Amino acid sequence: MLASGSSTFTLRYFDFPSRGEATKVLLLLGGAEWEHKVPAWPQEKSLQPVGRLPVLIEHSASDCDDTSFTLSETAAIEYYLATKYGYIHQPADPKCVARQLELRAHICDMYTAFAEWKLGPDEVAPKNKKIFNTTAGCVVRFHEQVLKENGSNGHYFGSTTTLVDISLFTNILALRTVFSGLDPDMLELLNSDNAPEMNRVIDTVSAEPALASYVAELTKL
Amino acid sequence: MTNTTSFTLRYFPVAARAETCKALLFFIGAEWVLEAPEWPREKGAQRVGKLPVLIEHSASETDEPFVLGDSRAIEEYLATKYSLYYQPGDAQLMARQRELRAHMHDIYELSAMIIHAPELARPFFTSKYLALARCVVDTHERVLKENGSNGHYFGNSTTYLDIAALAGLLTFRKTFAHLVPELLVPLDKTNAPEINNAVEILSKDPAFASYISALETCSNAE
Repeated sequence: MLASGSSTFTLRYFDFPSRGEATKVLLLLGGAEWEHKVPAWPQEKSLQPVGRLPVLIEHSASDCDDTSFTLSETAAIEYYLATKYGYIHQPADPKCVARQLELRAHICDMYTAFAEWKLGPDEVAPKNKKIFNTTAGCVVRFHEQVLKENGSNGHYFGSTTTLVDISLFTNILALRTVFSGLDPDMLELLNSDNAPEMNRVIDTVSAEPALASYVAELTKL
Repeated sequence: MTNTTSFTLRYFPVAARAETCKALLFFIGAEWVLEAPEWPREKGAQRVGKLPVLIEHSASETDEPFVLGDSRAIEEYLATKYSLYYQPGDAQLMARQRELRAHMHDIYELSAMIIHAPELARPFFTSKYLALARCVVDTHERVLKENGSNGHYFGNSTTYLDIAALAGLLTFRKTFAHLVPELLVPLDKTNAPEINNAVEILSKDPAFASYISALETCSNAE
């Protein structure tokens, strides 16, 4: 097996913050050598594994040849990198891993519900708005409790940044960056008054030294 | 070895998002029951107000039950606990399996949007579904062919992906045959021969007899 240090990565994704952000953060925190490529869209849509982004390509150099591993689907990409770089809490404990995946799924479902409300057809906007508000309300209540039970230390598990922390950080910042300009009140459910523990996680991950440039770029948008 | 755990799967009494969870529980021969909460009265009692929820009961009276929500997390837990991933020590192969499962999930989610969308919005979601389904089918057909068209995505014994494909295609056939038949076209025998061949082979496995019987009597999602 090749040592992880011999891999480099290409992340194919759009040039605005969305579902590819957690992958970027994992690559940055993992200290990977990587580049972000923005495919011409929709011209290069058919060149992607299932016509979607993000796509992660891992380039590995061995003594014999250069090989590449191409992976699509954000959940698969994030879990792969999180495992590779040690951002899964207690990876040998199936229950703990399942709990992390459950919490990540909540966050992603909340993001999806918001995106479907704002970007879906007008005919379903009222229904999707209700779905988002219901989803976000339930997720905030549940996650605030989980974070309190972990000691309100800015982490979902243990005392260091793991995948769920990264997922919350990237999904919420992407929502705020892309959508808040349209309607500042729409993300009120997720502000620091209504979700103090979740915002503590966002602040904690923001302070990771490896993410300084990333956070600075995101703030400019 | 004595089976020391049993499960409760909470879900609606329909064939929808929890089918792979059910198929996994049947396949592993677990002791389990399906519990349909009163809805919406018991919505607030679920983890984030959603189903399915899996409850694992330990044989020990002192152990708290393990409660887990989200179909994807439940499937991952059962697949890992019962060694249903192919070569779990190979990180890239594990990622590939999760990727392929996610493809199936994405198709399902789009199909659910079509079913629940108002008539005017259906063309929007249908075109997205058909475009994605074609790409996913191409990828999955290739994987199954490269594995020797033996009814399995990887290796020569049933793994999590196979179970998900079986549950997924049988549920689609049951649900869409009368609701939105055009959604089945990308997945029919003409357009997806390898997937259909795999499901046909798997359906003959006695380990799935109880699952298939339960699916046949389950109500359709509306």
